[in-house]
Amino acid sequence: MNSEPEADIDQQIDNLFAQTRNTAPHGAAQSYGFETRLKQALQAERGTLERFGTVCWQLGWLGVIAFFFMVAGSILVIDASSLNNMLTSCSNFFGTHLFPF
Amino acid sequence: MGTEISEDELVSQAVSGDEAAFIELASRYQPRVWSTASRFTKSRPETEDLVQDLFLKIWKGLPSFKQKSPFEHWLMKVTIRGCYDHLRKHRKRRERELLTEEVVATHSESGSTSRSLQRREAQEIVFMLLERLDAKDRTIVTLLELEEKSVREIAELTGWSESNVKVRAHRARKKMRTIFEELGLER
Repeated sequence: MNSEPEADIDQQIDNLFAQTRNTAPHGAAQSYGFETRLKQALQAERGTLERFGTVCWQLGWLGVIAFFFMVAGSILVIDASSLNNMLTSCSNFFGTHLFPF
Repeated sequence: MGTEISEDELVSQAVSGDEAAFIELASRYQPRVWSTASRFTKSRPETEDLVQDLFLKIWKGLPSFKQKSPFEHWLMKVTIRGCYDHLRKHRKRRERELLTEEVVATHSESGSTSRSLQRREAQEIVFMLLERLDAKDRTIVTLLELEEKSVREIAELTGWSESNVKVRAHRARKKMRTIFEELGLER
């Protein structure tokens, strides 16, 4: 239960709310170029999305190219190392079996 | 020409990305959104910016709108949540402004002691009280006292539980009483 002074303050607050309820604090929603502003904002939003899309697209392609070079490079390295291994084994084989002396 | 497109049709077109349909829809709902948003702002330019941000949010959120529930209900949910975000985002700035306002308030008080509370003044006092509440409490009190929503409706609009809304509303009322006394507003 509220004490008397509390109830009194509550009543005053309620009155204030009642007086404020039916009035929009900053007036009615008059035309202030709402549609034009919204159109511009949507356009800007689309522009940002498009720019973001372009950047993603470019980064994606760069990634694909980088991946391609990485794969190609590693194949070359593997090939080179296996060629090297092959040459070493051959020379070892010839060295030990064909030329025992 | 000249035939007005139904709301459902406009919503469907807007959901599928038709900007013109969305702008038409936004123009229809602008007064409704404006009236709610203006309860959370300090000035007309701030309301204009907030309304614009809200409609951008609505546009971005449209793909997630399930056309089973009424569009207005969904729109108001986004609006209320957007207003709450706006309050939270600008909390620091509001606190700074309150410090300077405090001085102005004491000055004007000493100038006129017994003045009748007219509508404008009532609005200002309500605004002063609301400004001193935190974002969540302010959202609840605004919806409860100014928009005359029920606890259940507030819970639906904000996504908070009914008990949370009730407890917060009770605490906010207590806080407002204290602020009212501290500012010496009682008559």
